Amino acid sequence: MADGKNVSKSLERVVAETAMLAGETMLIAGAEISRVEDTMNRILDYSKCESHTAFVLATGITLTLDSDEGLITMSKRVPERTTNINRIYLINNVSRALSAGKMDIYEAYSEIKKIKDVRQFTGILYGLSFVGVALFFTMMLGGDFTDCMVAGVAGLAMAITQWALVPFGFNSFFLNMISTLSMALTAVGFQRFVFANMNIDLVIIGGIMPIVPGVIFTTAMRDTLNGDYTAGVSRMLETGVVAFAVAVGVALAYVIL
Amino acid sequence: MLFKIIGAFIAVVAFCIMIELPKKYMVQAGMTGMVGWAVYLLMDMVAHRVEIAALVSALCIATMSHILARVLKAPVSNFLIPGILPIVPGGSIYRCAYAFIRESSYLSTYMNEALKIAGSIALAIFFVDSVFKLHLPKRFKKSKQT
Repeated sequence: MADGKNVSKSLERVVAETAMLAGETMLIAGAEISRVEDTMNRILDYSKCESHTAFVLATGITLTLDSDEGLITMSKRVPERTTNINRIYLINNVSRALSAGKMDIYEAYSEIKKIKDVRQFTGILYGLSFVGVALFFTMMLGGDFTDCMVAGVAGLAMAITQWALVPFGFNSFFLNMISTLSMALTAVGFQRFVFANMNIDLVIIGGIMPIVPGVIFTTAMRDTLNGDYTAGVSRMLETGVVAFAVAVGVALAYVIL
Repeated sequence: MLFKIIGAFIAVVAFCIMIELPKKYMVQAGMTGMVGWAVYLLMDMVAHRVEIAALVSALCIATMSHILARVLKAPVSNFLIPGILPIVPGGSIYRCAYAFIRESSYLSTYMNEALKIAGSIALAIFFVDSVFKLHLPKRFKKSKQT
């Protein structure tokens, strides 16, 4: 792969690699397809070549650049997906600076390379966000003090499960299912053995909120509207799979306890 | 009621940490979610139907996110994704699973509810996105110049 100082590569080649890297990072971060294509095309415009195409699916990217020394074609499979709006926002800014002439392509490449691994919140704060989401969603739905506290503990159980299991490389279905299971086990356990008259429904609804696929659903809707039907359908399917994992996790907790 | 709305604000901000929203937009995203939830509660009291409440509040959230995105020069999804979160039918999904385990006859009711709410949200996003994409036809622009 090109690094910033490698001058032996032609400009077109560097432009294509930059566009591919930007597209891959945005797709992993969960951007809408039209936004990924738009950004890639804006970067490809930098090469001043007559024709170029970026074709993005929900699971892979293809780009073609018609340069003077022949066609450059690249394709990349993107199996990973998370949600990281900050990266989408930063890459969008880089591509705008590039097309406004405030940045050259080598700077843009090293900038995007940095953005690829940028994280704003790590460690304890990320774990606490699970607790916060569970606790305050229960409050939002009208739970009383006991419900909120139990939801906070259940959210903590979910965060710990995720922290413990992610390094083993579990696939996302099992990860979602098992962390929902541990969350629901905590909640149901509290109801059985400690607070018999707490509102278990609100606690579990609050507790599953970190995993419920609201983000993917919204993106799927916007993709469908933009005419990216393959991405829309595959993201709707993803929504269904995640919702199914959550349902199985909760159901298992009731079966066990 | 007030506690519910404050809860919505903090819950959305906490969710923003999870999805790594840029720090400077967190308060605005939280406000979007809070207003959406307030509208939802209000419509639920007035109309007593979740799908209408979800539709109206999703319309508010989507409009608000488009306006915020244009004012602050940020992508629309920065505000739309966190804002929509409070009205996502998580509760109906859970009740579906519960009814399924208990072999309760309410299964289809809750499944219906989840699909209706999801459909309402989709419809609202579709509608607002297309309204904001509208522009004057070219013939009007030309006639203005001449």
